[in-house]
Amino acid sequence: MNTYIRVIVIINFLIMVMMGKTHAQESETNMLFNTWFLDTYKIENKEYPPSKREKDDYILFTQEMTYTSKLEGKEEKGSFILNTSGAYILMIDEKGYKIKVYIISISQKSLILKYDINEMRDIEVHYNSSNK
Amino acid sequence: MKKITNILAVFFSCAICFSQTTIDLKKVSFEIKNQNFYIDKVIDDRQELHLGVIEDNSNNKVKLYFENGTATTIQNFMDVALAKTGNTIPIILRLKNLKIEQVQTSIDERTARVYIALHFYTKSGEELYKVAHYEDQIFPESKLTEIYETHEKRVRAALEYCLRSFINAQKSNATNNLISKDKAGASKNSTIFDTYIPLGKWFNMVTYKRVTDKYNEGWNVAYTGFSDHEKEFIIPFVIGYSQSRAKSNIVQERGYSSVDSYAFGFGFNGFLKISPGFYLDIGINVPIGLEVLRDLQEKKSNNFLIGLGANQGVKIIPWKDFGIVIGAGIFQRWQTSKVINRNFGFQLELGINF
Repeated sequence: MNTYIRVIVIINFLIMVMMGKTHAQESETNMLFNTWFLDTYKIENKEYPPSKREKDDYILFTQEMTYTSKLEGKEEKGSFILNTSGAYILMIDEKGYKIKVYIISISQKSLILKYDINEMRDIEVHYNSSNK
Repeated sequence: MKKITNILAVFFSCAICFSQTTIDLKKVSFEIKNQNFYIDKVIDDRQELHLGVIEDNSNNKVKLYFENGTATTIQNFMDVALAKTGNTIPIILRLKNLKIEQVQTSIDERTARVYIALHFYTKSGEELYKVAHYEDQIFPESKLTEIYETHEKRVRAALEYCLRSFINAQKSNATNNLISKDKAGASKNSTIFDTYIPLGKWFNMVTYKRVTDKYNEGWNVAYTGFSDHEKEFIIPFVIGYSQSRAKSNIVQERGYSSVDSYAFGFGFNGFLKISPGFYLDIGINVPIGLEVLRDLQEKKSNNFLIGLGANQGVKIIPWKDFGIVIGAGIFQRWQTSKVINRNFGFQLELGINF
């Protein structure tokens, strides 16, 4: 009887661990669906504040895989593809122009991106969520 | 004799062993919403079984393979990504191409790239969807280890891209779901296809140029680095040093006994590839340097030299990996010289590429 209970407990534990892992992956994906406000730029461990024109810049990622962004005060809309294995977002604007953006880290409150553009490849762009 | 044959066999088999290396894909699952299919079988249709020839951590060129074979590796990846359940439909994947590349693409950058071409079939053999995709990433030239360690990540990203592309094609064909059991009236198969173009080889060249015009005779030594392309206009990186001496009576006419000029040139040339190894060479450069003037009393004076030059010619690179470079062309130059401001001349070039 004791062995039977032990087996049940172990199976339950394994199921909980597996479910927990799936939830963690789902929640990481879900974390992206938020409004992210530009906070700071980081180059080789030095932080640089955004310029006055970039003060209210943001990106909103929706569950419908569309985005709205404000870049230097100019609003832009488009769709995006999230590639979990490559840890990047492929942002496609309304004209079909694509930008690959690597996700360096993500949490409920913070999103750190690196834009795959020549001039910005070494710059970490830090965003804060609207929950701040 | 048999002993020698055995030793030779061991030697060559070891040599082959050293020229190969294997990678494996990490088993990392990712979320796919409303999944309605699973991958029943992966068939490798490629002619060449290796994934590419790349440079490893120690700068050695090696052939890259998957540790467990390509079809099994992709099948394992798909099994983790798309679990088989009661309601899901089996799909057969045919791998048409999978290449891993890494080459220097600018003076300080290296591009690592995966190219994949995948075809999706029903179990009965009906083609549903074709997709081909480049997954590339740019690194600083020195990060060879990081490039090597992340090849598998780019393969996973390319596979995920293909899956999501297939899923999106299904969504856009919502009324005629690509894999719905009722195929009546289904639209023609969707296709997203990038044909494979290899990453351009990086050329390093050191050349010596003999330059002649009506008033001067000189030479130029230059380093040129460029990433070869079949279709695009090639913008190489050029840095050089040139020296010239006035040879005409015009020097005396202007009140000088001799004029020497020393200049560094910064600029960009554009190469237009006509055929393999044959390029049209069009360049603009900014020579910056010093003009040393000696007047008729041998009194020395210096003049700051800055200008704008242009050249047009041809460049021939017969051997891709290592060999000679031959070039010929004409040039025009304007500079802040006290003797000759505008000039026109010919140049012959000889050098090596490596």
